[in-house]
Amino acid sequence: MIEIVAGVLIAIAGLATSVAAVLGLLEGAFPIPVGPAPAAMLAAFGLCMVAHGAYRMRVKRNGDDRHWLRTAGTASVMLLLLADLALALPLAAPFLNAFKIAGFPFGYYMAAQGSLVLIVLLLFVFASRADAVDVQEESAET
Amino acid sequence: MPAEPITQPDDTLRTDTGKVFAIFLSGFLAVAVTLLIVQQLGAPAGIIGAVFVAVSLAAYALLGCSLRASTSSDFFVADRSATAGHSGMALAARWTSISMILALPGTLYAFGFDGLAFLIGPVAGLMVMSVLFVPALRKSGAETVPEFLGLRFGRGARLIAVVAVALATFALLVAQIYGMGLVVGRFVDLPPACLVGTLTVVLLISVLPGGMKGTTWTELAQYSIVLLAIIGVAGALALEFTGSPWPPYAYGEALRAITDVETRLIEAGLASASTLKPHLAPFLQLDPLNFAGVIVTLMLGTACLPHLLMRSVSVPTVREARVSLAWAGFFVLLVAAAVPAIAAFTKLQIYRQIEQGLSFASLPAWIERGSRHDLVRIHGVSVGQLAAAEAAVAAGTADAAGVASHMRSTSPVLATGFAELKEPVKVAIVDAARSAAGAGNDPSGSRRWQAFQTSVLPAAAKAANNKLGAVTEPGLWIDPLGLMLVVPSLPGMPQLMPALIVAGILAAGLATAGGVLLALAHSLSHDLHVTVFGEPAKDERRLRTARLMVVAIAVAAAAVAVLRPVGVFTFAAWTFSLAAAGLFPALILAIWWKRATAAGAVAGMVAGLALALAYLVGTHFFPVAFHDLWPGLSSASDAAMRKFTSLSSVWSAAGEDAKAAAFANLEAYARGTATTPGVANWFGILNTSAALFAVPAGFVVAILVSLVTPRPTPAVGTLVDDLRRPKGPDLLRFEPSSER
Repeated sequence: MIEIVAGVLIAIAGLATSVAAVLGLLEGAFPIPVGPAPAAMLAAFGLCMVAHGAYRMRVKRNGDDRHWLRTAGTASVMLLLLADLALALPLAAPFLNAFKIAGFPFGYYMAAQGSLVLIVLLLFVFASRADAVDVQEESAET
Repeated sequence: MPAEPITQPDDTLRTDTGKVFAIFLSGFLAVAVTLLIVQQLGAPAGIIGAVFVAVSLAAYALLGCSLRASTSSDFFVADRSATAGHSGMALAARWTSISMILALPGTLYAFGFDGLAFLIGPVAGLMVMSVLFVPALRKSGAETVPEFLGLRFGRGARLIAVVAVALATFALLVAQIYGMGLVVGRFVDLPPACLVGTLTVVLLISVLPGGMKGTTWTELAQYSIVLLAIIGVAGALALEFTGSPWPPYAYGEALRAITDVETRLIEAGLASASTLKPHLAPFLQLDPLNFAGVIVTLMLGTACLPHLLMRSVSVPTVREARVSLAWAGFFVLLVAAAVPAIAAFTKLQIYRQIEQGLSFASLPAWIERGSRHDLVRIHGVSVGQLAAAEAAVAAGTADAAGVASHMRSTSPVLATGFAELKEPVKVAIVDAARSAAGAGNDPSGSRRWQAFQTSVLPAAAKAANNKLGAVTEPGLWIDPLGLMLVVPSLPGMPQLMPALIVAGILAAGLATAGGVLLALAHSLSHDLHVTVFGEPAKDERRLRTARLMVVAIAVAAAAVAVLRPVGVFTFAAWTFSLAAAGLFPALILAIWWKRATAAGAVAGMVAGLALALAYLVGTHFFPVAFHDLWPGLSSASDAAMRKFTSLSSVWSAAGEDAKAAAFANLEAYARGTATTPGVANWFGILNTSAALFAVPAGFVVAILVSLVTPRPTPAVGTLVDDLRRPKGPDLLRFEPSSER
């Protein structure tokens, strides 16, 4: 429940900020330029929190569909992370290239190796989490 | 459904993947080291190289024969007996298609950052596969992807799925065979039919006896060679740069050095800031929309490729299927992370050479060898063009137009390059060709090289306003498909490198080709049989038909490859769009939406395929008509539209004989290239990213039609519930429980 409330508040804040940015009210208000895009992402994050909170409340109720709910929930989180790693991070490369890691510009590094490594880690994490859900909900193979 | 006869569980494939991989890798390394020693003792490098490649091919053939398939379950899904590690590494070998090794380094060289989209997409596709499809696919017990769709949606869906699979993957198969023939043809002087034939025979020997089971170890061996090749090339380049072979992965220093050299080249006047595309800067070649579009298309397409999906379910349990994809990701990572290093080190070397001065009078060996094969062009000209012009002159043509048309009939690729040259340059080439005609035989090509350096190059440089008498950065063009073939000639590269690269390309090509061949043969035999006759054939009959199909498809693909159609690699790129458009919506809805009906799935698949084909075929073959259909959707700028209109009016005003050429120009402008959308497009989306339209369209149609048609029966609901739960026996074929 707390998560839903927090999510709603963050979503509203993000939405307000992005509208303000679009209307040009934020010129010079912050030390770094805040465009509508980061604010919109914040709003999206807030909505994700709302969705996740609702999902957790639904899962708490014991039902026949518990296993499926949890599997679907794990899958959604994984896909969101994947979209982040495979799309959002490389697209943010111009912004990230300002920093350097081991001689690589950070944006380039993430697109060339960092995202790939994290995707592989995510593959292992998913395999283990999905299996854990199966075992806990007694739907795993023997 | 009656249970198939339960065979004795075969434990051959339950060995430890690490052990098998170590055996293969050390075996190949031992051969390589032995050959290096023999070479030091004086054997010619060409023979050494050929031996290494031959040993690798023999290994695949032997391994393919060592695990024979005795049941159709063996042939189709390795009897579900592979370990997660085996399946993962084999999948990695299949994932590494020939474009990864042949085309990707060159693309990364030319594009810099933007080329990384071609790596990120397929890797992300493994995750999509694991999360969305593979567990249910394994639980279903289906032996082909259309069988899975048929289980959920019925025969109509199964049939359309077969069509989708065939459409999507046949071109991929042809491209592998064609690419392998191309590469071997650079080193071995045999007619293409001969090369393609030999390669197809090797392919068949490694695939026929064992099917999916036999290829498990073959693919492991192929992966070891691919890894060896990529790491070897990257390591050799790194050694040249840093003095230590360690950083095929840690090439940050090289990137920094590239940026430094780029600045110095601009200062020295060897490159200009307006044309130089910095290696690290994003979105210079692909705008962000197309960058994302490439990633999404490759991601969804890879996730739907049948030869990858079926490899991941050749394991006993759902749990192992997910883990096998994770291992596949790891092995893929080892290869994928090193490929950009190859491009970076190569670029650094070449830029440094340009900086130190490459005068036309004394060009290094790698340019000479690359130019001979038209892989390297300086200001648009190459020795390959000169050779073709000499052939044209010998055949009797007298002027530039005649030479051009002769080239068009013998080698279209050279002809396109020749046609883009300015008039004085063409004249210079024709003159040089004519004076060569009187000079007699030139077996080593050195006289031609001399002529090229003294008369053709200066003319080309003059036309390009290059007064320096040396190679400049914009003047140097390396064929993206040819970078890997040029690299071995760079200074400091070990003599065994061409052999390693060829072996790696063959390994990648054979692995992918074998996988696609098996998947296609399985569908065209098993699925078609069931769709037509309503029930599967008996086991031995199924096995025999599948094997026949393997041979038939291989021969068909080889025949197409020998015909050398232009644009083989373009069609192969369409694979991902077609696979995603045809299969992705259906696969998702099968598992994740109980309300999806058979009619909806069929409608969705058909709509997706139709839209994808319309966009691909329309923008590629009929760009002018495609554009004129809905000009408002095109993203062409005002300037581009003005040029298009002017080319249009040139065409309509042209006389009879010039009309064809004028239309060709107009078409070429409208079409764009594989990486720049021409005038004919919707919202500026590249034609190979057609999935961006087709997949959502497929979803919309499937959902709408499902809602309109009657709700599926409760039995379907139970089926879907069963698919979602790993617990319990496979739905289609009873398996002994996982005590294996």
